[in-house]
Amino acid sequence: MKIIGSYTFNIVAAASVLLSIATSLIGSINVFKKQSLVGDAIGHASYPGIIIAFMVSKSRSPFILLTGAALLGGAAYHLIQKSEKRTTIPLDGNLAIFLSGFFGLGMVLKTYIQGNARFARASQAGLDAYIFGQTSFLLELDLVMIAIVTLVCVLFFTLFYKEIKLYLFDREFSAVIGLPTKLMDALILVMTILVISVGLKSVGALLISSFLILPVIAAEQWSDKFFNVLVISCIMSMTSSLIGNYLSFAGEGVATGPVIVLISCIFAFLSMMFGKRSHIFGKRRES
Amino acid sequence: MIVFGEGMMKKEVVGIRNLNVSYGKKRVLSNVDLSIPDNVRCAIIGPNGAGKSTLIKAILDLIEHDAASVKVLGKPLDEVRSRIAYVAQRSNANRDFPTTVFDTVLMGRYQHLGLFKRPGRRDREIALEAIREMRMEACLDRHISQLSGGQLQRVFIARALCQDADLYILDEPLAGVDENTETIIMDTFIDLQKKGKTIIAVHHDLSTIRHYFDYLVILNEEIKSHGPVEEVFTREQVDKAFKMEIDGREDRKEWVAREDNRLVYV
Ligand SMILES: Nc1ncnc2c1ncn2[C@@H]1O[C@H](COP(=O)(O)OP(=O)(O)OP(=O)(O)O)[C@@H](O)[C@H]1O
Ligand SMILES: [Mg+2]
Repeated sequence: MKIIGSYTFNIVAAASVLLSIATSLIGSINVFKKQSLVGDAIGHASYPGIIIAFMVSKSRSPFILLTGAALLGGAAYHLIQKSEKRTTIPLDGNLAIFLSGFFGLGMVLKTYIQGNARFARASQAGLDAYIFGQTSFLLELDLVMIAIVTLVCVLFFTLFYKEIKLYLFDREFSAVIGLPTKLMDALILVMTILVISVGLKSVGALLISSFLILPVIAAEQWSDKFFNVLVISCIMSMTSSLIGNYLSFAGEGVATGPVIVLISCIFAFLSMMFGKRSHIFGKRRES
Repeated sequence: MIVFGEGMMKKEVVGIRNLNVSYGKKRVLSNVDLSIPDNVRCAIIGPNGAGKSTLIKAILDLIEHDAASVKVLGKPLDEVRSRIAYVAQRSNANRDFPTTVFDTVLMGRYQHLGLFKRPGRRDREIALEAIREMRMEACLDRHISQLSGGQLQRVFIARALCQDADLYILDEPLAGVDENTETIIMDTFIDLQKKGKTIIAVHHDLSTIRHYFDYLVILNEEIKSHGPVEEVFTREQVDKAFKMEIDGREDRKEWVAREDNRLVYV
């Protein structure tokens, strides 16, 4: 069976490479802002958005589903922030409540429409793909959306590289010299939601946040420079994604997300063992 | 030595009218009116929890506050940001962030670079000079998580020097640094003052006030007094602000009030 070079695999490969760039950049922000878990909550919360968008529109157009995912991801984030401010529940408790609440809602709605005659005419095939990721369902339109989101992220990083660096390292200092930290928070949130939404079909709601953070954590073990970390992270992310997709294609129907994340985990594990900044075999130690 | 004669009004570097700050319902600063003149080395003193850091954060617009007016270098803060350098008390900088000592200090140049501009050769030279001044050149390429607390403080002070500002605001710059470093930092302050700059620093060691500073703000929820050190640093004034503390101190006998009512710490 010839996989590499086939039309579908070309689309998938292009989508993986682009998505890897976007997830590495946005993932680095999430890791260094110490809010990786927030990404996890947004990822899970976007799943009911897919189902609701499908129920309302009776269409599987990637654009419509993505809009639903982004809206619910944003809503969950908003609720988490509100609850964080107005209650005494700590952040991890809040994350757990909204993460499982939203994802549970998604699963309930999905089982509801599966046996429901009103939705029988609209094909539901592919809705499962958004849970674990299934790149064989990827359409050209998905690729276009991934490309646009990636372009936005790359532009953001190239134009404001030094500002982003300062903001991530020392927020208070960046505020003193006049960076619009609130605006940056908002932009970063929007980009995080967009990247997660376009990545759902490839990696799935359950594991998308791991795909954002694992390559960054792995890359961090190899360099003391932010720029190098970004580059290494992109390379690792692309590699895991390409191998993952290939294996998933070869395995006919194996969900893509888990394979990609498994390979990312292996990279992260090896980096922790042998990386220059690692604790285990690396020559340097941290305080 | 700077003389504050009557009628010789200096330009003010910080001017605050009726500043109030609360955290939730808790009032931390009330009715603060403060004017700090240009080109001084000013210490802010007061017991723990007096609101020293809060005052600095309000000046730098880092926390919500309510004030009739806050002017820095004679202007609204937003117009003079590039002329201010700042070192936080316990910097909440992310120590896991991938950045070396050199890169971190170089960040002090960012406020002078336009949007989309990268630091150039001149910026690197300035950063290197600041690192040398703080005697950190041996750690140039070290990741900042591999520094001791005092070394990290030196890096942040080097970053502030690199900011090439007119006003330096430092929240306990001497916290956790050794004696040598303390001398280096204080000599740097004197150099800066000679170049026409102003330094405002939160300070805890009352015994060195006279030696290190020439202007003083005594704070405890409100401004207890402020003015040239010789005028303000008296037992009476310090007692007012530190009341609880001094009464509870074992080493109370070490505070000696001279006949002229000046406070000496021996
Ligand atoms: N984020 C905060 N939320 C609530 N209360 C705060 C917060 N920060 C400070 N406070 C309170 O405000 C008061 C002033 O705090 P501040 O940090 O300004 O004191 P300080 O004079 O700098 O003390 P220190 O000498 O210990 O640094 C304290 O009573 C403190 O408990
Ligand atoms: Mg303080």
